[in-house]
Amino acid sequence: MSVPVLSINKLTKKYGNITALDEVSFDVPSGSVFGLLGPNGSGKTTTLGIVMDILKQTSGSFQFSGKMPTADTRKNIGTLLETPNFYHYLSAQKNLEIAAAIKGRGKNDILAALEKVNLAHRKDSKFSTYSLGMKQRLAIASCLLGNPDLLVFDEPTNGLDPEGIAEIRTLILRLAKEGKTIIMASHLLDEVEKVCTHVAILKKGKLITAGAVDDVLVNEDIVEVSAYDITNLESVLLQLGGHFSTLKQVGNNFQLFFSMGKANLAEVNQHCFNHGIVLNHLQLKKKSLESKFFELTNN
Amino acid sequence: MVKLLHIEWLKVKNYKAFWVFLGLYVLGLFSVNYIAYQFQIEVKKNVPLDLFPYSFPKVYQTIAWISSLLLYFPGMLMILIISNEYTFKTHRQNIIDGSSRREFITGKILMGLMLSLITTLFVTLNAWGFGAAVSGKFSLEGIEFIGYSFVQSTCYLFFAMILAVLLRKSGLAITIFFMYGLIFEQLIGGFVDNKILNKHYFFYYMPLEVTDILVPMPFGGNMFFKDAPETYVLLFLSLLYISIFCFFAVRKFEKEDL
Repeated sequence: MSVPVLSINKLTKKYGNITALDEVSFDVPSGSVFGLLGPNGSGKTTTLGIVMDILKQTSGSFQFSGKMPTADTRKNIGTLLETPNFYHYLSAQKNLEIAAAIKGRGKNDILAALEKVNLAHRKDSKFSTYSLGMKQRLAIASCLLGNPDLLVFDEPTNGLDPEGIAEIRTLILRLAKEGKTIIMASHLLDEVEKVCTHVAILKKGKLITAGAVDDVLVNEDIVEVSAYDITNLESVLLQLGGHFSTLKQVGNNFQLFFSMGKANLAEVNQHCFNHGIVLNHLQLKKKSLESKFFELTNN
Repeated sequence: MVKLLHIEWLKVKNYKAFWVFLGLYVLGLFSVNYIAYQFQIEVKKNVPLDLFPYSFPKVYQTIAWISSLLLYFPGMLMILIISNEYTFKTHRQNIIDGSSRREFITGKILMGLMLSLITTLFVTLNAWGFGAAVSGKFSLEGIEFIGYSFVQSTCYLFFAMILAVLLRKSGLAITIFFMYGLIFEQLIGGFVDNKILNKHYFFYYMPLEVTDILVPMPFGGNMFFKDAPETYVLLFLSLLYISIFCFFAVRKFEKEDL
């Protein structure tokens, strides 16, 4: 396996008695869209803050591509952390010039970055006149300066309207397609489900699980059936064979759990009919990522 | 160094409030000297007393002292440009974008030096202007006071810097800067000297006062500060304080959560 882009090793951060981060370790594989998932206050921003050297860890370490981090490492990472931080009295253009100067780059790609987030027409407006969504998009433009291979987005769709959220999602997917590694912290599961390939779930500063999305957040299809002849229904369903993992009775309904995409309603219906049972209820239910998430974080 | 100054320059270049404030300060430097100069003329009409001599060689000391009364203004500017970073959280963003913590705070130290140089430049220009106008000649005698003035303004500015770095909020930092410089240093110094030591000693060694004695008032300075330490001691202590302010500003910024 190739060297992880970011490798976090037993990172701990304490604020007095409070442990904000408790020996968290995970690797971000190259080329992945890595979702850092967790409820508010679970330690997502703390983790990214330490990695970006604005917070000092109590113990533990981290490496970028196997190397100890330096300021120069950060010059090649596009990061949006927590809130868009810009000089209020300067225009978008002037603000990005400062970011470019710090990164040791020219002004050439500033306009292109602003165009990517649809802000080029407002490039000379002061940051203080921007709406929340525009500020967020400017922060993302700043991340794109110098076309870095690693992007870190902390709640990138914060404050955006539905259209803006869709735009950012498309942008992230496009960047991922270009082969960039993206680390994205979010408490919006929907967001993670739609774009991430890998995920780490944090709760109260502890890492609950980490890995490929398909492994961690196994999604299941649930087929819910019912019939007047509920007693025979169960035995008939059991004869369906090894297609489903579990059979659960919920009230007057039975739930069959299939792995994602494997449920075939017609087949279930046909099977029951062939065995003399007429279904009066047949429904495919997607198990939401949300319930899976609650399942993970509530244990 | 040049890169750090360039980045700081980008931050203030289009900052209108900064330039308006700086412009008013420069205007104030001239005005306050002009007032003292006029006052001196009025005094001379009645009594042959040189309170504020504006002719060479004394003009350097006069202008350095008069100008030092306004040092709180570049100090406020210094506080403003640092606390702005905390307010906008751009101190974090600069680090995220790839500055090292040391580079960031060094940029601020360089800005402090620049402000001090600007102050000194206008003090010098005022001294030459008034000196030449009043004396009808030009002289460099007594110009060491320009050097002392530079040390003094640097000390004030770096004191302002450490307050801004420690307190983060401009309002609080500016209030404490004024309160300490105008009241509490005198109060603490006076208390220790009069109530504990029973002689003028401790007060002279306090961070702002030590540079104030370096540039004493042009009238009666010898009388007020007759037991003051030697100039080289004052200079050494001033530089020591400047170093201490820088050291702790760097240390605080490097070690702690931003």
